[in-house]
Amino acid sequence: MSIVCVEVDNGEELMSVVIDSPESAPYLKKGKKVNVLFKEMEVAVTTQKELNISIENRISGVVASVEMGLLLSRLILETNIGEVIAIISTKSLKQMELVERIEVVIMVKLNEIILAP
Amino acid sequence: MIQLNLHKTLSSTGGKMALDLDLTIEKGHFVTLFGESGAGKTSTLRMLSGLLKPDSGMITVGGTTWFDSRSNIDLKPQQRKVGYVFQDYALFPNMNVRQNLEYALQKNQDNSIIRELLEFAELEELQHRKPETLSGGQKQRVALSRALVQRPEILILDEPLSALDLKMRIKLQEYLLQVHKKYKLTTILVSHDIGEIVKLSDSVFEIQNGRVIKNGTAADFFGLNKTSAKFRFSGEILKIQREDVIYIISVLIGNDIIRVVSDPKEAALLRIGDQVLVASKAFNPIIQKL
Repeated sequence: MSIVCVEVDNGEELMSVVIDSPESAPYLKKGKKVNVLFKEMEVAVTTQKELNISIENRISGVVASVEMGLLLSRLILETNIGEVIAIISTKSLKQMELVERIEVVIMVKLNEIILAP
Repeated sequence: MIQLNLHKTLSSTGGKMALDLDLTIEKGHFVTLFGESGAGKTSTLRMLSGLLKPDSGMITVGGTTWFDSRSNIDLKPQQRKVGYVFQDYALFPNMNVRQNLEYALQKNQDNSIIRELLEFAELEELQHRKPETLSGGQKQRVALSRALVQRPEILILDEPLSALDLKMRIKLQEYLLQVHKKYKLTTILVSHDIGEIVKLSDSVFEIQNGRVIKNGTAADFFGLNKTSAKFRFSGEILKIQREDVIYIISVLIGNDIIRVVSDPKEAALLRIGDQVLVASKAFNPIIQKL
Protein backbone atom coordinates (compact mmCIF):
# COMPACT_ATOMS: atom_id res chain seq x y z
CA MET A 1 0.00 0.00 0.00
CA SER A 2 1.20 3.53 -0.70
CA ILE A 3 0.10 7.07 -0.13
CA VAL A 4 0.93 9.06 -3.23
CA CYS A 5 1.22 12.86 -3.45
CA VAL A 6 0.40 14.25 -6.86
CA GLU A 7 1.30 17.79 -7.79
CA VAL A 8 -1.51 19.18 -9.92
CA ASP A 9 -1.98 22.60 -11.55
CA ASN A 10 -0.90 25.80 -9.79
CA GLY A 11 1.10 24.10 -7.06
CA GLU A 12 -1.90 22.31 -5.61
CA GLU A 13 -1.34 18.81 -4.25
CA LEU A 14 -3.67 15.83 -4.09
CA MET A 15 -3.09 12.73 -1.99
CA SER A 16 -4.23 9.24 -2.88
CA VAL A 17 -3.99 5.92 -1.10
CA VAL A 18 -3.50 2.92 -3.41
CA ILE A 19 -3.01 -0.79 -2.78
CA ASP A 20 -0.01 -0.79 -5.12
CA SER A 21 3.57 -0.15 -4.17
CA PRO A 22 6.42 1.11 -6.39
CA GLU A 23 7.45 -2.56 -6.73
CA SER A 24 4.04 -3.77 -7.96
CA ALA A 25 3.26 -0.72 -10.09
CA PRO A 26 6.24 0.75 -11.95
CA TYR A 27 4.38 4.01 -12.62
CA LEU A 28 4.69 4.93 -8.94
CA LYS A 29 7.86 6.88 -9.44
CA LYS A 30 8.72 10.44 -8.53
CA GLY A 31 8.22 12.73 -11.50
CA LYS A 32 6.03 10.29 -13.46
CA LYS A 33 2.92 11.89 -14.98
CA VAL A 34 -0.47 10.55 -13.90
CA ASN A 35 -4.07 11.58 -14.32
CA VAL A 36 -6.12 11.99 -11.19
CA LEU A 37 -9.76 10.84 -11.21
CA PHE A 38 -12.47 11.23 -8.64
CA LYS A 39 -16.22 10.94 -8.73
CA GLU A 40 -18.40 14.05 -8.64
CA MET A 41 -20.46 12.47 -5.84
CA GLU A 42 -17.36 12.23 -3.64
CA VAL A 43 -16.63 15.94 -3.65
CA ALA A 44 -17.61 17.62 -0.39
CA VAL A 45 -18.09 21.37 -0.31
CA THR A 46 -17.58 23.70 2.63
CA THR A 47 -17.68 27.45 3.11
CA GLN A 48 -15.37 27.25 6.14
CA LYS A 49 -11.72 27.74 5.17
CA GLU A 50 -10.24 26.06 8.26
CA LEU A 51 -12.12 22.94 9.18
CA ASN A 52 -10.87 20.39 11.66
CA ILE A 53 -11.75 17.30 9.68
CA SER A 54 -9.95 14.15 8.45
CA ILE A 55 -10.25 14.94 4.76
CA GLU A 56 -6.79 15.35 3.29
CA ASN A 57 -7.48 16.95 -0.07
CA ARG A 58 -8.73 20.54 0.01
CA ILE A 59 -8.81 23.04 -2.81
CA SER A 60 -10.40 26.45 -2.74
CA GLY A 61 -12.68 27.64 -5.48
CA VAL A 62 -15.73 29.64 -6.45
CA VAL A 63 -19.20 28.39 -7.33
CA ALA A 64 -19.61 29.05 -11.06
CA SER A 65 -23.05 27.56 -11.55
CA VAL A 66 -25.75 25.69 -9.68
CA GLU A 67 -28.27 23.24 -11.07
CA MET A 68 -30.78 22.45 -8.39
CA GLY A 69 -32.64 19.13 -8.58
CA LEU A 70 -35.31 17.73 -6.31
CA LEU A 71 -32.92 15.55 -4.31
CA LEU A 72 -29.48 16.29 -5.65
CA SER A 73 -27.84 19.41 -6.99
CA ARG A 74 -24.93 19.85 -9.33
CA LEU A 75 -22.35 22.56 -8.75
CA ILE A 76 -19.70 23.63 -11.21
CA LEU A 77 -16.78 25.08 -9.31
CA GLU A 78 -13.84 27.07 -10.59
CA THR A 79 -10.74 26.06 -8.70
CA ASN A 80 -6.98 26.28 -8.94
CA ILE A 81 -6.95 22.87 -10.62
CA GLY A 82 -9.64 23.81 -13.14
CA GLU A 83 -13.32 23.10 -13.28
CA VAL A 84 -14.58 20.62 -10.69
CA ILE A 85 -18.11 19.26 -10.55
CA ALA A 86 -19.65 18.46 -7.18
CA ILE A 87 -22.94 16.68 -6.70
CA ILE A 88 -24.38 17.31 -3.26
CA SER A 89 -27.82 17.01 -1.73
CA THR A 90 -30.28 19.80 -2.42
CA LYS A 91 -30.86 19.88 1.32
CA SER A 92 -27.21 20.85 1.93
CA LEU A 93 -27.29 23.32 -0.94
CA LYS A 94 -30.21 25.16 0.67
CA GLN A 95 -28.90 24.88 4.21
CA MET A 96 -25.51 26.31 3.18
CA GLU A 97 -27.15 28.88 0.92
CA LEU A 98 -24.78 28.06 -1.90
CA VAL A 99 -25.24 30.33 -4.90
CA GLU A 100 -23.04 31.54 -7.73
CA ARG A 101 -19.85 33.46 -6.84
CA ILE A 102 -19.66 32.10 -3.29
CA GLU A 103 -16.15 31.11 -2.24
CA VAL A 104 -15.87 27.52 -1.10
CA VAL A 105 -13.34 24.80 -0.36
CA ILE A 106 -13.82 21.39 -1.98
CA MET A 107 -12.70 18.28 -0.16
CA VAL A 108 -12.03 14.74 -1.32
CA LYS A 109 -10.87 11.87 0.93
CA LEU A 110 -7.66 10.21 -0.18
CA ASN A 111 -9.32 6.81 -0.67
CA GLU A 112 -11.52 8.33 -3.39
CA ILE A 113 -8.68 9.42 -5.67
CA ILE A 114 -7.87 7.07 -8.54
CA LEU A 115 -4.55 7.43 -10.34
CA ALA A 116 -4.41 6.76 -14.06
CA PRO A 117 -0.88 6.49 -15.43
CA MET B 1 5.57 -20.73 -31.88
CA ILE B 2 3.60 -19.68 -34.93
CA GLN B 3 5.18 -17.15 -37.27
CA LEU B 4 3.15 -15.62 -40.01
CA ASN B 5 4.42 -13.33 -42.69
CA LEU B 6 1.63 -12.97 -45.21
CA HIS B 7 1.04 -10.86 -48.30
CA LYS B 8 -2.19 -11.13 -50.21
CA THR B 9 -4.36 -8.82 -52.26
CA LEU B 10 -7.92 -9.33 -51.12
CA SER B 11 -11.03 -8.25 -52.97
CA SER B 12 -14.04 -7.28 -50.96
CA THR B 13 -17.19 -5.23 -51.42
CA GLY B 14 -15.18 -2.13 -50.49
CA GLY B 15 -12.64 -2.75 -53.27
CA LYS B 16 -9.16 -4.25 -53.11
CA MET B 17 -7.11 -4.42 -49.94
CA ALA B 18 -3.46 -5.37 -49.55
CA LEU B 19 -3.03 -7.66 -46.58
CA ASP B 20 0.49 -7.30 -45.25
CA LEU B 21 0.80 -9.03 -41.95
CA ASP B 22 3.52 -10.04 -39.50
CA LEU B 23 2.37 -12.01 -36.52
CA THR B 24 4.11 -14.17 -33.92
CA ILE B 25 2.07 -16.30 -31.55
CA GLU B 26 3.68 -18.20 -28.68
CA LYS B 27 2.94 -21.89 -28.37
CA GLY B 28 0.20 -22.61 -25.85
CA HIS B 29 -1.15 -19.07 -25.85
CA PHE B 30 -4.76 -18.09 -26.30
CA VAL B 31 -4.81 -15.03 -28.56
CA THR B 32 -7.54 -12.93 -30.10
CA LEU B 33 -7.61 -11.17 -33.45
CA PHE B 34 -9.68 -8.05 -32.99
CA GLY B 35 -10.86 -5.56 -35.56
CA GLU B 36 -13.64 -4.48 -37.85
CA SER B 37 -15.30 -6.78 -40.35
CA GLY B 38 -13.25 -6.90 -43.54
CA ALA B 39 -9.98 -6.04 -41.77
CA GLY B 40 -8.43 -9.36 -42.82
CA LYS B 41 -8.87 -11.50 -39.70
CA THR B 42 -10.70 -14.40 -41.33
CA SER B 43 -8.45 -14.28 -44.40
CA THR B 44 -5.42 -14.56 -42.11
CA LEU B 45 -6.88 -17.62 -40.41
CA ARG B 46 -7.83 -19.19 -43.74
CA MET B 47 -4.25 -18.75 -44.91
CA LEU B 48 -2.92 -20.32 -41.71
CA SER B 49 -5.20 -23.32 -42.14
CA GLY B 50 -4.41 -23.70 -45.84
CA LEU B 51 -7.85 -22.76 -47.16
CA LEU B 52 -6.51 -19.64 -48.85
CA LYS B 53 -3.13 -19.27 -50.56
CA PRO B 54 -1.06 -16.17 -49.79
CA ASP B 55 0.45 -14.30 -52.77
CA SER B 56 3.77 -14.49 -50.95
CA GLY B 57 5.21 -14.93 -47.50
CA MET B 58 5.94 -17.63 -44.98
CA ILE B 59 4.14 -19.66 -42.33
CA THR B 60 6.15 -21.63 -39.80
CA VAL B 61 4.69 -23.54 -36.88
CA GLY B 62 6.98 -24.91 -34.19
CA GLY B 63 9.96 -24.76 -36.54
CA THR B 64 8.17 -26.57 -39.40
CA THR B 65 7.48 -24.63 -42.58
CA TRP B 66 3.85 -24.88 -43.67
CA PHE B 67 4.11 -22.34 -46.42
CA ASP B 68 7.01 -20.62 -48.12
CA SER B 69 6.39 -18.92 -51.44
CA ARG B 70 10.11 -18.76 -52.23
CA SER B 71 10.81 -22.49 -51.88
CA ASN B 72 7.35 -23.49 -53.10
CA ILE B 73 6.29 -25.17 -49.87
CA ASP B 74 2.52 -25.26 -49.36
CA LEU B 75 1.17 -27.97 -47.06
CA LYS B 76 -2.38 -29.11 -47.78
CA PRO B 77 -5.04 -28.23 -45.18
CA GLN B 78 -5.18 -31.84 -43.98
CA GLN B 79 -1.41 -31.85 -43.40
CA ARG B 80 -1.65 -28.81 -41.15
CA LYS B 81 -2.57 -29.54 -37.56
CA VAL B 82 -5.36 -26.99 -37.36
CA GLY B 83 -8.90 -27.33 -36.00
CA TYR B 84 -11.33 -24.76 -37.34
CA VAL B 85 -14.61 -23.77 -35.70
CA PHE B 86 -16.98 -21.43 -37.54
CA GLN B 87 -19.78 -19.26 -36.23
CA ASP B 88 -22.40 -21.22 -38.20
CA TYR B 89 -21.17 -24.63 -36.89
CA ALA B 90 -20.88 -26.11 -40.44
CA LEU B 91 -22.09 -29.53 -39.30
CA PHE B 92 -23.22 -32.15 -41.82
CA PRO B 93 -27.02 -32.14 -41.50
CA ASN B 94 -27.47 -35.69 -42.75
CA MET B 95 -25.11 -37.19 -40.15
CA ASN B 96 -25.72 -37.61 -36.45
CA VAL B 97 -23.40 -36.18 -33.81
CA ARG B 98 -21.13 -39.21 -33.66
CA GLN B 99 -20.94 -39.49 -37.47
CA ASN B 100 -20.03 -35.82 -37.71
CA LEU B 101 -17.07 -36.51 -35.45
CA GLU B 102 -16.12 -39.78 -37.13
CA TYR B 103 -16.07 -38.10 -40.52
CA ALA B 104 -13.10 -36.06 -39.31
CA LEU B 105 -11.02 -39.15 -38.43
CA GLN B 106 -7.91 -39.61 -40.51
CA LYS B 107 -7.19 -42.89 -42.26
CA ASN B 108 -6.09 -45.51 -39.74
CA GLN B 109 -6.64 -43.12 -36.82
CA ASP B 110 -7.60 -44.82 -33.57
CA ASN B 111 -11.24 -43.93 -32.93
CA SER B 112 -10.96 -43.87 -29.14
CA ILE B 113 -10.67 -40.09 -29.46
CA ILE B 114 -14.36 -39.97 -30.47
CA ARG B 115 -15.52 -41.41 -27.17
CA GLU B 116 -13.17 -39.17 -25.23
CA LEU B 117 -14.42 -36.04 -26.99
CA LEU B 118 -18.10 -36.99 -26.69
CA GLU B 119 -17.58 -37.57 -23.00
CA PHE B 120 -15.62 -34.37 -22.43
CA ALA B 121 -18.24 -32.30 -24.26
CA GLU B 122 -21.07 -34.12 -22.43
CA LEU B 123 -22.50 -35.18 -25.78
CA GLU B 124 -22.74 -38.94 -25.15
CA GLU B 125 -26.51 -38.89 -24.74
CA LEU B 126 -26.91 -36.81 -27.87
CA GLN B 127 -24.56 -38.83 -30.07
CA HIS B 128 -27.31 -40.35 -32.23
CA ARG B 129 -29.18 -37.09 -32.76
CA LYS B 130 -29.05 -35.09 -36.00
CA PRO B 131 -27.73 -31.50 -35.78
CA GLU B 132 -31.15 -29.97 -36.53
CA THR B 133 -32.52 -31.35 -33.25
CA LEU B 134 -29.79 -29.70 -31.17
CA SER B 135 -29.66 -26.27 -29.52
CA GLY B 136 -27.12 -23.69 -30.69
CA GLY B 137 -24.85 -24.41 -27.73
CA GLN B 138 -24.98 -28.16 -28.33
CA LYS B 139 -24.25 -27.71 -32.04
CA GLN B 140 -21.25 -25.58 -31.21
CA ARG B 141 -19.95 -28.22 -28.78
CA VAL B 142 -20.25 -30.78 -31.60
CA ALA B 143 -18.42 -28.46 -34.00
CA LEU B 144 -15.69 -27.88 -31.43
CA SER B 145 -15.33 -31.60 -30.70
CA ARG B 146 -15.14 -32.35 -34.41
CA ALA B 147 -12.35 -29.77 -34.76
CA LEU B 148 -10.38 -31.68 -32.10
CA VAL B 149 -10.70 -35.16 -33.62
CA GLN B 150 -7.38 -34.95 -35.47
CA ARG B 151 -5.66 -33.71 -32.32
CA PRO B 152 -4.69 -30.32 -33.75
CA GLU B 153 -1.97 -28.16 -32.27
CA ILE B 154 -3.78 -25.00 -33.29
CA LEU B 155 -7.44 -24.31 -32.71
CA ILE B 156 -9.07 -21.52 -34.70
CA LEU B 157 -12.31 -20.09 -33.38
CA ASP B 158 -13.91 -17.65 -35.81
CA GLU B 159 -16.61 -15.84 -33.82
CA PRO B 160 -17.68 -19.19 -32.38
CA LEU B 161 -20.13 -17.89 -29.80
CA SER B 162 -21.64 -14.83 -31.45
CA ALA B 163 -24.85 -16.64 -32.47
CA LEU B 164 -25.56 -17.82 -28.93
CA ASP B 165 -27.47 -16.20 -26.10
CA LEU B 166 -25.54 -14.77 -23.18
CA LYS B 167 -26.04 -17.65 -20.74
CA MET B 168 -24.88 -20.23 -23.25
CA ARG B 169 -21.99 -17.99 -24.26
CA ILE B 170 -20.68 -17.76 -20.72
CA LYS B 171 -20.95 -21.53 -20.30
CA LEU B 172 -19.13 -22.20 -23.57
CA GLN B 173 -16.42 -19.64 -22.73
CA GLU B 174 -15.57 -21.79 -19.71
CA TYR B 175 -15.63 -24.84 -21.93
CA LEU B 176 -13.28 -23.22 -24.47
CA LEU B 177 -10.79 -22.48 -21.70
CA GLN B 178 -10.96 -26.09 -20.49
CA VAL B 179 -10.44 -27.41 -24.02
CA HIS B 180 -7.52 -25.02 -24.58
CA LYS B 181 -5.79 -26.27 -21.43
CA LYS B 182 -6.63 -29.97 -21.65
CA TYR B 183 -5.43 -30.37 -25.24
CA LYS B 184 -2.48 -27.96 -24.78
CA LEU B 185 -3.61 -25.98 -27.79
CA THR B 186 -2.49 -22.72 -29.27
CA THR B 187 -5.86 -21.08 -29.74
CA ILE B 188 -6.69 -18.17 -32.03
CA LEU B 189 -10.03 -16.49 -31.51
CA VAL B 190 -11.86 -13.90 -33.55
CA SER B 191 -14.31 -12.02 -31.36
CA HIS B 192 -15.83 -8.57 -30.93
CA ASP B 193 -16.99 -9.11 -27.36
CA ILE B 194 -14.51 -7.33 -25.08
CA GLY B 195 -15.67 -9.16 -21.96
CA GLU B 196 -15.18 -12.47 -23.75
CA ILE B 197 -11.77 -11.44 -25.09
CA VAL B 198 -10.51 -10.35 -21.68
CA LYS B 199 -11.82 -13.51 -20.06
CA LEU B 200 -10.30 -15.91 -22.59
CA SER B 201 -7.16 -14.47 -24.11
CA ASP B 202 -3.57 -13.99 -23.07
CA SER B 203 -3.01 -11.37 -25.73
CA VAL B 204 -4.82 -9.42 -28.41
CA PHE B 205 -3.78 -8.31 -31.90
CA GLU B 206 -5.77 -5.54 -33.52
CA ILE B 207 -5.97 -5.80 -37.29
CA GLN B 208 -6.96 -2.91 -39.49
CA ASN B 209 -6.81 -2.81 -43.29
CA GLY B 210 -4.76 -6.01 -43.40
CA ARG B 211 -2.13 -4.89 -40.89
CA VAL B 212 -1.49 -5.43 -37.20
CA ILE B 213 -1.82 -1.96 -35.71
CA LYS B 214 -1.71 -2.76 -32.00
CA ASN B 215 -1.06 -5.67 -29.67
CA GLY B 216 -0.77 -6.33 -25.97
CA THR B 217 -2.11 -8.39 -23.11
CA ALA B 218 -5.90 -8.35 -23.05
CA ALA B 219 -6.17 -6.17 -19.93
CA ASP B 220 -3.57 -3.69 -21.19
CA PHE B 221 -5.04 -3.67 -24.66
CA PHE B 222 -8.43 -2.43 -23.53
CA GLY B 223 -6.99 -0.01 -20.99
CA LEU B 224 -8.18 -2.01 -18.01
CA ASN B 225 -4.80 -1.60 -16.37
CA LYS B 226 -4.69 2.11 -16.97
CA THR B 227 -6.06 3.08 -13.59
CA SER B 228 -5.02 2.19 -10.09
CA ALA B 229 -8.65 1.19 -9.44
CA LYS B 230 -8.79 -2.46 -8.40
CA PHE B 231 -12.55 -3.01 -8.33
CA ARG B 232 -13.08 -3.08 -12.04
CA PHE B 233 -15.12 -4.88 -14.65
CA SER B 234 -15.93 -4.52 -18.30
CA GLY B 235 -19.46 -4.74 -19.59
CA GLU B 236 -22.05 -3.46 -21.99
CA ILE B 237 -24.42 -0.53 -21.49
CA LEU B 238 -28.05 -1.63 -21.42
CA LYS B 239 -29.82 1.54 -20.31
CA ILE B 240 -29.09 5.24 -19.81
CA GLN B 241 -31.62 7.01 -17.69
CA ARG B 242 -31.75 10.57 -16.40
CA GLU B 243 -32.73 11.08 -12.80
CA ASP B 244 -32.67 14.47 -11.16
CA VAL B 245 -29.32 16.13 -12.02
CA ILE B 246 -27.51 12.87 -12.76
CA TYR B 247 -27.74 9.83 -15.04
CA ILE B 248 -28.03 6.21 -14.01
CA ILE B 249 -26.24 3.82 -16.36
CA SER B 250 -27.20 0.13 -16.31
CA VAL B 251 -24.31 -2.12 -17.32
CA LEU B 252 -24.41 -5.83 -18.03
CA ILE B 253 -21.38 -7.49 -16.45
CA GLY B 254 -21.38 -11.25 -16.93
CA ASN B 255 -24.84 -12.30 -15.80
CA ASP B 256 -25.39 -9.32 -13.55
CA ILE B 257 -26.75 -5.91 -14.27
CA ILE B 258 -25.11 -3.24 -12.17
CA ARG B 259 -25.97 0.42 -12.01
CA VAL B 260 -23.54 3.29 -11.97
CA VAL B 261 -24.26 6.96 -11.40
CA SER B 262 -22.79 9.25 -14.02
CA ASP B 263 -22.48 12.98 -14.44
CA PRO B 264 -24.41 14.38 -17.47
CA LYS B 265 -21.09 15.39 -19.05
CA GLU B 266 -19.87 11.78 -19.05
CA ALA B 267 -23.27 10.29 -19.85
CA ALA B 268 -23.41 12.38 -23.03
CA LEU B 269 -20.48 10.34 -24.39
CA LEU B 270 -22.14 6.98 -23.72
CA ARG B 271 -24.55 5.00 -25.91
CA ILE B 272 -26.56 1.84 -25.33
CA GLY B 273 -24.49 -1.11 -26.52
CA ASP B 274 -21.15 0.57 -25.76
CA GLN B 275 -18.50 -1.59 -24.11
CA VAL B 276 -17.36 0.15 -20.95
CA LEU B 277 -15.00 -0.19 -18.03
CA VAL B 278 -16.56 0.19 -14.59
CA ALA B 279 -14.06 0.88 -11.84
CA SER B 280 -13.89 1.90 -8.25
CA LYS B 281 -11.18 1.83 -5.65
CA ALA B 282 -10.53 -1.31 -3.66
CA PHE B 283 -11.16 0.78 -0.56
CA ASN B 284 -14.80 1.49 -1.35
CA PRO B 285 -16.84 -1.70 -1.78
CA ILE B 286 -18.17 -3.41 1.29
CA ILE B 287 -17.76 -7.16 1.56
CA GLN B 288 -20.09 -9.48 3.43
CA LYS B 289 -20.19 -13.22 3.83
CA LEU B 290 -23.28 -14.79 2.24
